[in-house]
Amino acid sequence: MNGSVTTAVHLGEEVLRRFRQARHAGTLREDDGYLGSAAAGTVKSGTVVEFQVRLDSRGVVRALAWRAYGCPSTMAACSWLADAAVGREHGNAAALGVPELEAALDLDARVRSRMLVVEDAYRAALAAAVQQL
Amino acid sequence: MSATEQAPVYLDYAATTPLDPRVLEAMLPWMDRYAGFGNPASLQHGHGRRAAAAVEQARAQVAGLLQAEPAGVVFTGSATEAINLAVLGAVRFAMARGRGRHVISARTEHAAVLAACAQLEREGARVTLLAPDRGGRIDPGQVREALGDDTVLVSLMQVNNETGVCSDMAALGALLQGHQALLHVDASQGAGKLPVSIRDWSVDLLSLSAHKLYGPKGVGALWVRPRPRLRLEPLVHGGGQERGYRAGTLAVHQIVGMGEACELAAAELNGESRRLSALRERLRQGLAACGPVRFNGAPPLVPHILNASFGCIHGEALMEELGGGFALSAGSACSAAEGRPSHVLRAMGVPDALAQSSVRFSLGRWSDEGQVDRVVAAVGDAMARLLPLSPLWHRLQAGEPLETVYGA
Repeated sequence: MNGSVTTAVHLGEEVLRRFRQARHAGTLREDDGYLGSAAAGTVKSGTVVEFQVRLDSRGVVRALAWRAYGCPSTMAACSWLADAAVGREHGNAAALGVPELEAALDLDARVRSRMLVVEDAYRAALAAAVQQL
Repeated sequence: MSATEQAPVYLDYAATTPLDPRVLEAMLPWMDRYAGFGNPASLQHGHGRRAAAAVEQARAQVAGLLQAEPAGVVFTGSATEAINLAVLGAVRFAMARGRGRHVISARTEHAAVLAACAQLEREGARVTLLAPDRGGRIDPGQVREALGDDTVLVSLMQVNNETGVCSDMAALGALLQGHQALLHVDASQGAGKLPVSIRDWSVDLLSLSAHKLYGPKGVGALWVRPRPRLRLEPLVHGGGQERGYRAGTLAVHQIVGMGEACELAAAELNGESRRLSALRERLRQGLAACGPVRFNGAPPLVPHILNASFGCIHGEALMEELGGGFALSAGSACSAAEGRPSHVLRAMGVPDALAQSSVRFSLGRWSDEGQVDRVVAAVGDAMARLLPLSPLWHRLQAGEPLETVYGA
């Protein structure tokens, strides 16, 4: 818009599919299970992510929900993480992070800082849920 | 694209415009192998004389749009070149003669002006970049306060290319009467949409682009006050074409195209201006109903530009959601992962994150109500899907003002 030459962030097919068909978006009810919530990022930086994680009594991830103010890659990452974490034992779920996101979604390297925000919110919500056990 | 595919709706006329078929028709003879290829400097034969006459006709057509003397029109390769010739040429000439080294411009100017000013700073000039108010306006009083004995140039745009905010050029011209400082106006975005009057504005230098008003790319013009003759340090040296301001064989077909485009723009200005204003208002009302939308830029605005920030959703997400159906200019496209929002919106105090969710809609000769309604519907659909996913939207729903959400 300012007359300068710019390049757009690459969005792979999986990012676009996940962005357009985002899963697990929204919030979880707070009345059952062990629920942890967390947020990361700032409006100023252009990425804000909220995660909620519900564990069962054995520490297995039963449900996740997220909301995000961010780019398509950020939303796709939230959607993928939520899908990937359900059914995992919490220790195993905590291992999911940026490397797995980058491998699964063929992400542009320039969005890595945004993926760190996603990872922070996700892991913090998971840790908060574990503390409820 | 096949004939059956629906072409994207083009709403980026402020970036460039399609060549008007009437302009193309006027240009074609000047690319002809037999009669239209003459060098306008070769006045010894008919080929050259015909080309020279065509150039002079174009000069008069350009001057007609500017309400100015044709003798002042200097053809260049682009508006950027015209701006550089004006800014660098005027200040270098003055500095070399010890007449001063101070330049006044604004933070909201086009990159061509800002980069030329930065170059002058490296050469020893002092540059004052005025800050706009929150509406993007520069008050003539700010110019008056910044003027000094060593000010040699004031360079301001008639219309901001991102927001459409208009400057009061007549007031600025009047302000500089009796001062040595020259007034350069970048009229690239306003010419053909609003009246331009070099006579009434007391302008010394005015730059213009052909491709912003349905002419060809690769040609622009700088109007240089012919009487009393204004002196510039040329950027290009050579055969002395264009009164010595800009050397190089003239691109006759391009110049003819620019002339034709200017003549058409002048003839259609009033009706087209009213039509575009009505379309822009339809667009503004439609977008305002889509959700938390803020319009950037205070009136008076040029008829064809509307700049909107879409609250609570990321600009890249919005643009992706709109898909390939629309050709628009987005704040997010300028910044992407680099985190550099529009310098214009930033100067106006728009928070960076909101600036990144801004979109410039610019209308033109082939825009119509159907296209406006299509983009409004698409934005509405995009916001309806994305807003519920946004934590910022839920803060807004809970009663927090948008300005607080964005930390403004």
